[in-house]
Amino acid sequence: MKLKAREVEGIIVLEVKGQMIGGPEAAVLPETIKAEIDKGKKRFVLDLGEVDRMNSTGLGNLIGSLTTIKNAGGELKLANVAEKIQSLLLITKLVTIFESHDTVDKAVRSF
Amino acid sequence: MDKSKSTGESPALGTSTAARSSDDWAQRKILNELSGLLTEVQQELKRVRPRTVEKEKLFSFEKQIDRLSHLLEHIEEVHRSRLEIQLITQIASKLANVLDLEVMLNLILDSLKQVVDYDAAGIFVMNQSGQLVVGEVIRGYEGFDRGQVRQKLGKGLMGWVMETMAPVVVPDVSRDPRYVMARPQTRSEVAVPLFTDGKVIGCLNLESDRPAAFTERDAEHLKTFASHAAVAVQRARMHKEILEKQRIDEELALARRMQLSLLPNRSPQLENFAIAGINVPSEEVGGDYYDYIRLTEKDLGIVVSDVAGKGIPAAFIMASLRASLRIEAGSRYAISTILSRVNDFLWEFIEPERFVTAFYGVLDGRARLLTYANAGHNPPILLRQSGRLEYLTEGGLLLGAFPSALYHEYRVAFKPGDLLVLYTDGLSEAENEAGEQFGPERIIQATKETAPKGHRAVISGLLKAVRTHTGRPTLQDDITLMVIRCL
Repeated sequence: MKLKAREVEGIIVLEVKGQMIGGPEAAVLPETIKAEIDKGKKRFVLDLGEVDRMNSTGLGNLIGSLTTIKNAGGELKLANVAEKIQSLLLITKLVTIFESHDTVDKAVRSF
Repeated sequence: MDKSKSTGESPALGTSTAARSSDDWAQRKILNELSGLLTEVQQELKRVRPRTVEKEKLFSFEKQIDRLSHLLEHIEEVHRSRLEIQLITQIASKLANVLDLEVMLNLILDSLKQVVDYDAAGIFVMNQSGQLVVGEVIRGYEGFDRGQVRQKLGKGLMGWVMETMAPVVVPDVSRDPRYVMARPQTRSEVAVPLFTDGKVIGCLNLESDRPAAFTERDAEHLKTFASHAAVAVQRARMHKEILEKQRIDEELALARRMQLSLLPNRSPQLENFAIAGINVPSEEVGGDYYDYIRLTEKDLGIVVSDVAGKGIPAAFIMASLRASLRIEAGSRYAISTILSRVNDFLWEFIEPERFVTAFYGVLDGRARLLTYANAGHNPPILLRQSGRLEYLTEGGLLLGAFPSALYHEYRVAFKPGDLLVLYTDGLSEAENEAGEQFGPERIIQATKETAPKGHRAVISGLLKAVRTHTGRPTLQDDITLMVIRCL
């Protein structure tokens, strides 16, 4: 899993690449989010367009990210959710929790 | 020349070679005395102001004394080398069975003192982050304990030695800009690197209160001792890793036993239904859970659940889930309320990144009715006698991740011949070499093929099919299956 963070109009866009299946490198997501929150950032978009695989640990990372951001009084929106991940969100009913947009642009503009 | 002057300590090493060591010690004492005597004569000679005639005589006398002195130095060096071989042989024999690193390194410093005398010594090893060298064993640093004498990498003489991977001899520390003071009495110092597999892992360092106490030759002796210290460090590390692995294996075995002891050991009896379940463990301990909860004579609670994650934490959450679900189920609340309460209970104590998916239902045997709520779990597949397929998806959010979640319950009426397959993602997400998941389609296919032979045949058929799909005898994740057939 690789993570790139950029800022668009004060919103932190986190672009995840590869597999969200846990492991030591998965720690970069919560660490980055925490660092941005410490800098005072509150609005986040998680771009999942390049995520080719996600298991329950990856789903846990997603939930953890949302919890961290919400606890800091912020918001997290998903963008570019691939079909496979969408079906995971459907099964677990997380679709009712995560706000999801087709593109990063739309997600950024929805704040 | 009096650099190896004995401190008067008798040799501490090896009882079997005690006699030889005490001989060596006596020889060394004699050598030291001789050496002291020669030094005195040399100094005495320098004070003599001879008349011209005797000058030549005196000069040749001085030369003889010098030769004698060189000879003595040579004997001393031969003696030191012989002693070193003896000590190193003893150290090497102990390396094989002394696993306590502190004991081993202290032995090395004791032995070293007999070959190269020092006032302070330390064997330093790089810490895990690779930023610091920390004293594993030290002596002569007053007011410091081992572990307290440390240096940042790249700083001081030790830092220099570790960076350049070469020994350093400093005759006067006060004139060396690299020197960082650890003890004020120190006048000279020698340090050599510790290597394993061609990499520097630490440093052996000696300090003396006398100036120019160490020579390049001393550094050579140090290298031999340092190489054995490095082997001791590496062996201790490997031993620690083995112990750590053993500990983890034992913990996992415990978690596995705990998990298995909480699973049902027989199939339940319920009128108009035939029910069977199985949990097939993978190598790692997963958090799968299934259960039958007897509510009344005609009502049976059924649950299939999966805790995200593996190992002890998953087994612990699984045990808590079971306890809480069994208590709530016994309270006869509505299923939606039961799941809400279990959700809040789990949310209270599990970490934010963990969650549980669960399917909970109550089978009314007499009425052939299932009332259920699906909390984010893989939808059980209902294969009707007619061949029609239904998925039991409704209910609510997965458990334990968010507080105050709401659940809704649904009812399904069964007819004889209907078959319900409940499973965990260990089955649906089992991958073949191409990374393709077993998936619901293959579950349905295998179920349809085996259903006419009964509910147990469906279980064995599904397990066979998933193994054929993955091409491996072992599983990547636990598989839990429950098959319910309406009679």
